[in-house]
Amino acid sequence: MPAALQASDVTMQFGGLTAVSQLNLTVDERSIFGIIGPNGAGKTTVFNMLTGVYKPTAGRITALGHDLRGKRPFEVAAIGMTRTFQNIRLFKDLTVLQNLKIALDNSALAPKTGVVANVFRLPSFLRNEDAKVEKALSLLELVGLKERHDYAARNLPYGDQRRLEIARALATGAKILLLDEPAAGMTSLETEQLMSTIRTIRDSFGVTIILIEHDMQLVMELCERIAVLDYGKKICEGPPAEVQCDPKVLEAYLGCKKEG
Amino acid sequence: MPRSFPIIWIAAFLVVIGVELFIIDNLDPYVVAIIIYAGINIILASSLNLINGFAGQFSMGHAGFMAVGAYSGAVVTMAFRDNYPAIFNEPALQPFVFIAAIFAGGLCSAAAGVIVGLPTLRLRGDYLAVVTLGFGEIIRVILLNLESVGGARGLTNIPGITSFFWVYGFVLICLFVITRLVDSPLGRSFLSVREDEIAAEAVGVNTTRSKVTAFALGAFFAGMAGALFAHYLRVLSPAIFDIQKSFEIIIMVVLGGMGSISGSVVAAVFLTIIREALRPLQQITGTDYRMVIYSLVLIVLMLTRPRGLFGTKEITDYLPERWKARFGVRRVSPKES
Ligand SMILES: Nc1ncnc2c1ncn2[C@@H]1O[C@H](COP(=O)(O)OP(=O)(O)OP(=O)(O)O)[C@@H](O)[C@H]1O
Ligand SMILES: [Mg+2]
Repeated sequence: MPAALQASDVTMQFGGLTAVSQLNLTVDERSIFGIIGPNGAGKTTVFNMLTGVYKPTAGRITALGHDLRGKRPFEVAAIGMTRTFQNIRLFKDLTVLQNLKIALDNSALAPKTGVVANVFRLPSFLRNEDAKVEKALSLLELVGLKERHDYAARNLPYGDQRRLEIARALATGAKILLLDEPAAGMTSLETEQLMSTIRTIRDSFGVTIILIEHDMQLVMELCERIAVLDYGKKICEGPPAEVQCDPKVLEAYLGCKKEG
Repeated sequence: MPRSFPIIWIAAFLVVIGVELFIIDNLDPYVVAIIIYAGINIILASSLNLINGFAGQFSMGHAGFMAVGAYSGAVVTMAFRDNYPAIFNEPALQPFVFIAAIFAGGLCSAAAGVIVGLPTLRLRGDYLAVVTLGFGEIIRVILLNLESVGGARGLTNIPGITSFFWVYGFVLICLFVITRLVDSPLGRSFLSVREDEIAAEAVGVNTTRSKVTAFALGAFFAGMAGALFAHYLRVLSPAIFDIQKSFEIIIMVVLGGMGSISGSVVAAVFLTIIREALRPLQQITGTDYRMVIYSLVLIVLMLTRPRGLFGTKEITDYLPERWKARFGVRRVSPKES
């Protein structure tokens, strides 16, 4: 299976602090890949480097056949990789539908029309807008938000906001989806639904998913491979069953060496 | 009729023609002057709203853009008048010269908008406000020292071509373009930048381009307003385009609601009238109390309606649903819950 994403010897330093150190990652196409680790381990920093928010101090990242060196976040999105945020970032004062339309405006999922067509609302513009609404509604249906499409995003309950962020990321036409703690703050029922949504996204859209999560049950059930970070270093990687029993992982989480 | 047919706009244009032909000559010239200033202020306020309200880049140098448009527009018509009098004095051709001059004013101002837009790539909030304020002052000082356009004495003897028809013709063009852009991918990219720049980039918005485009577009229309103003007043001096002028426009935008074109229109008209109504007060006391009144209006407003008269709503949001369908209103305002 070809790799959707590859990071080689990627390092991120902030002044004297090395947030991520010589990280190597290979994520297979159409897989669900987990990144776990204690608070401050450097997980979000990895996402920031992958999406072009931070420029790695050293190392090389390729995604979907493109070298990401010097690419800005919107260019990474255009290549087909986008993310959600640990501290939810929606277009709060806009409607749920507008949130998705903005993503669709810049995605390969919808054709682009010229400024003249837009200002004079020529048929090409109207057709295109209708197509975007339809596409947006189908994505909202996937995450269970179709009925709330005309709500202001800020008025949605917390769990819905997280789901909206995922739908918006999908609306960019992403082939790689990076989810930063998607289940944070969700009830166990919501987490259950989220897991099935993530599976559906992978299975029916063929999207590769990389997720950061503290909810171990979710990670262990959902991910095919897991990388564990501690103090910016990858201390272990493998399928859930393997990672779960690795003494280094227990040490990182519990902060003490296992006796014997 | 296709649902996109701009029936309202065509009707409004016919009204402008009708007023120009049958009504305007019967009005008191002073009233006509107020109506014309109101129109120019509508263009200024709604174009600033594009930058401040929609793209969320707090610009305080709008008078500078207006000045660039006013001077460059005036220079174009005056050059025509002096070098090609035959063309200029031909009634059938003069309107084309005038339109060219107004577009020249808009384009020069848009170029200035790009130059000011560039620092916005690095600056935010207060810092950006200070830089744009400085830009406005720089423009004023340059004009003050540019002898070819009269320097401190100002530019005089500009042809007085601007009429009710021209001002409101351009008001309609400006509002037409702005309201429709706002509901298109470009306008939505402005909104995304205002709402959350990092999220906007993450979903594929080229925020650099969006911000610079917002500045260029806003400046373009402000430049047009400036050119219309120049050909109405017939004299320009750098002092007209001072910080106070920029503040006046900002107050219109804030009063109407950042992100509401309807709000900008209503506030521009309201404040133009207030300003004239206060003129006697100025004559009696010998001091310009306008800014005091403006400030009071703002303070009262911020206490009672912190998001302006309209917030981010438009007049069309208040129409009954079936009218919206009939007039092809596409805008959907967020449902509160
Ligand atoms: N822009 C920055 N400047 C300086 N230090 C930073 C910056 N971003 C992250 N760091 C530091 O890098 C380290 C890793 O942070 P990061 O946010 O990646 O952790 P995380 O694994 O996502 O943690 P959490 O589980 O709490 O979200 C932390 O020590 C953090 O303070
Ligand atoms: Mg994090």
